[in-house]
Amino acid sequence: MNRLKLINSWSSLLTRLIMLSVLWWVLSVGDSSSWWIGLPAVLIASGVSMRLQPVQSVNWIALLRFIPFFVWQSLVGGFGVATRAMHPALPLTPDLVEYPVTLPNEFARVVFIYMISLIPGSLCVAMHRDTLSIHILDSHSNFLAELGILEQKISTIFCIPQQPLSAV
Amino acid sequence: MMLADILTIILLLGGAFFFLAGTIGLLRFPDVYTRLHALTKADNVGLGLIVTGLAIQAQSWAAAGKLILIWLLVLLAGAGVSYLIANGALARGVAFWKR
Amino acid sequence: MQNLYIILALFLLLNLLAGMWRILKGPAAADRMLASQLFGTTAVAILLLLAQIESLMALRDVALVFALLAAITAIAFVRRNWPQEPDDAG
Repeated sequence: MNRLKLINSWSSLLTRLIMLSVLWWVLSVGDSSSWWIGLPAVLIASGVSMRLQPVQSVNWIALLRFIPFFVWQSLVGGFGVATRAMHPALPLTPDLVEYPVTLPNEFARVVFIYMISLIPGSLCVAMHRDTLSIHILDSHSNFLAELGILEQKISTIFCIPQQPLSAV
Repeated sequence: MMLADILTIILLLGGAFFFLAGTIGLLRFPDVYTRLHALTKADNVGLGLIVTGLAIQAQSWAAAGKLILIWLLVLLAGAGVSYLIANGALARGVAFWKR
Repeated sequence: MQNLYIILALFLLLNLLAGMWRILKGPAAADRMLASQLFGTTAVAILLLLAQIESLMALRDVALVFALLAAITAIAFVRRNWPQEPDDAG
């Protein structure tokens, strides 16, 4: 058990080193002479992040699959908001709804809230112990099912065991 | 004209459309919450399209990556700030519009 | 291509100016805070287009810093300078 924990934290450190190195490469636009500063910065940042952000297992395949989903949702939802804004009659049916969250861990919840606020049509307004107050632009849409799908995807990304769907 | 250029033009014009929609929504929508929807969502999508259009023209992978990074940063900041504004407005009793 | 970039940058500038009307008018303090969102996206897009027009890649760094500052100033305003009285008219 302890051994597994050790392996997890080393692989987490390695992932962070790689990701921060890529970040430095992008920020310096591939300037190889900048690594004199970049390498120490990457090392220090990885160390600090290990202290501040606990090890979180991530399903990378699910994360990659999430990208096209997110882009598609953004485009479709964005187009919906755009047509509403331009329509002469302004067809809005906004509402404030309570959504029961099942995600158990804090980090996954915060990611969920960010995603709700990023995907057009919904906006997280407040978070309580077990529910989120979400402002919906079109209360006639099937928003509960869509939020359920989003929550499911996030729980898969963070390797959270499946829970019975109470919300849909 | 090259295919990449045509793609860039389409993406840039698409981006401009979403920015226009965001501004119209900002001016027309009835309350703070709906305006937040219009501004944040439409502009994020618009910026995403413009960034993609420019990334196609970038000289290197790192330069294209930097453009995408800027977009991700704007997304992250926008989502966090729109939560804070909406949350603050609700806590201060700013009424929300309902049909 | 150059012309398209210039026209787009001007178009976005007009968008920014139109959006400023809402910031000035309010009515709620929350409406004024939308300025950070407006600048966070539109100004960043304009800067990126300018970087392309002038082949001045440093402007991309300016856009990056702009995106960061827009977020930080907005958080600072929401946390510290938001008056308590609700001045909501709708």
